[in-house]
Amino acid sequence: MRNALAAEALLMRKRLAPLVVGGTWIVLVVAFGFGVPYIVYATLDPVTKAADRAALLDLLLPSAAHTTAAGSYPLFGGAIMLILGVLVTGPEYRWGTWPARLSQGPGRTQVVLAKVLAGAVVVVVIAVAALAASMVTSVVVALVEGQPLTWPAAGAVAASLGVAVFISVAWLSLGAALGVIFRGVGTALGVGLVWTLGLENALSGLAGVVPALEPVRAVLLGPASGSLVAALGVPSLSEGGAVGVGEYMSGPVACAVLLAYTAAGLAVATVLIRRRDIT
Amino acid sequence: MTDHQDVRPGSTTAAPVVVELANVTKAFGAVQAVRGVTLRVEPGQVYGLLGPNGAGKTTLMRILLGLVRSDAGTVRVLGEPPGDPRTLRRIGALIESPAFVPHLSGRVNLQVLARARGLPDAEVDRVLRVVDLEGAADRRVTGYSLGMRQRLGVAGALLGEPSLLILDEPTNGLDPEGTAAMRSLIRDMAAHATVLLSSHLLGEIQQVCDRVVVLDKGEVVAEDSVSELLSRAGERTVVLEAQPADLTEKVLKANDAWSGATRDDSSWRLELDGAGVPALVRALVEAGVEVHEVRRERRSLEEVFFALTGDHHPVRSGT
Repeated sequence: MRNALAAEALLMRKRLAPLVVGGTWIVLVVAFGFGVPYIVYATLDPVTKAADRAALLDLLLPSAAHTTAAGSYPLFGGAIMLILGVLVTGPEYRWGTWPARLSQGPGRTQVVLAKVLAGAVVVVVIAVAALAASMVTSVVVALVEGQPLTWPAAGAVAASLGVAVFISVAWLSLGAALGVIFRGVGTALGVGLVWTLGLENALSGLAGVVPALEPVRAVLLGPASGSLVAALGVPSLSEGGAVGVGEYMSGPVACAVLLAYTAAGLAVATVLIRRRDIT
Repeated sequence: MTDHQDVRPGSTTAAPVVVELANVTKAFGAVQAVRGVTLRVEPGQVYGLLGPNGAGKTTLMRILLGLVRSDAGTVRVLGEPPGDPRTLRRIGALIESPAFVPHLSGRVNLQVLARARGLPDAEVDRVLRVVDLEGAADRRVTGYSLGMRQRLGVAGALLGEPSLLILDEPTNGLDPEGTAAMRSLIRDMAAHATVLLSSHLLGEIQQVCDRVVVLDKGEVVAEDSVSELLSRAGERTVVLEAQPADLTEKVLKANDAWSGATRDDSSWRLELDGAGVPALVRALVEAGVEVHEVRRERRSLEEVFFALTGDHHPVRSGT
């Protein structure tokens, strides 16, 4: 396993995909977590909308930067990490490198686990970088608005980071499985993104008006991610928070769903790679 | 290194077997890629796989690496079932066209493979020297020529000085100089390893291999040492040059054993075993024919191959 992980870590370090995906995500977090809300804040009438402005500004200051960053994960963060997951396994089919990858010594299970584990390390780095970028942005907002620099508790920052990583790994694992299921990148991305941004949202939205669909929503990855972020105290969209955040299920149930997706993604990818002929 | 002993599975031999397949079968859907293949590769041999498109050569190689599972039969590679992790570290392989991460350098691609085997980066430098690719090692693979990719693929197969090298079309894309160098390299490698190679260049198999198996439609149609195969396939063909042609023709037609002779100007080709030649010469001389020459025709491996497979087209890399 150590050799497989060393190989996959080197491959991941040298590839462009983690940089592109990570860079894109950091830009999105800063733009949609801070940039757009700040524009809204700046355009609100200071007299008639003073309360809304104050609430919005609170989310953009250093004391809330960690939760604001985490609030970006349930919808767009999930989609981005799913893309990363697909790029962990899918390109090996396009490059035709699976035979070489699987004939060096490490077993098939080890190679798949090493790939996802290397991806998980990248996810941690991306989450830390996104958090750091959020903190820097919030400091800029505080300085521009003349607000005091109040820092969040270290435990709260660690919890936000943990939630971000937990959510990201679940989506990464799902993406890795899709890359293997569809033996490539294109179809896996298409199906994954349509499901994530389309069907999951539609089902989740419909569950709000059709109670029969609530059990379905309870096993969806997006709502589980949103519920876990909500458990951090991040407000939902209706409360002026981020898209996808909501208390659809309790924190422990959300954790169980995320764990189940992580395990299922790994299991599907591993079983398929083990069972299939590599041609 | 040529081996003339009976090395069929089940026979008694003291030498450890590197590769042993017994009645191996593999189908992809309705396509039967390998049908009851039985073969045995002894240590130190350079063993050739020959066959037209779809003969099952690459499938067999994939089976040996555990990439493809056989449907039936027994497979042992270095004494273990195929795909065994410890065994895989002792095998170097180049299957079909070498595949690499295109936007990474040749060196990094090899480093990824080396780390998977637990080898240091110095081993990468060594194999790059062996295939004479040091100068281009830090260039992206996407800018490599086909020949350079092929050499990089061979370099990957050489990592860790494996006991068994499985090379599928190793000279594919190489220029004549590169082909000669690769041939020499394969011979050098055979000093430390057993080599199993497929090639569409029959002359190459003839020059490099000790033993050869000819596959057609997934079946073994011949398996022997190269010299035996050539000898066996050529031993019955006799070329006769004689005058006058009409009298010669008359003598040949008079005997059922010779009546199948084919004529080309003043020479005839006929199938005849060793004992039949004196009788033919005697009959011709007694009839007043001037016998200018009687010789055995030695076929090239290419002709043997076409005769065995019934193929009339040049062989290309296959399934």
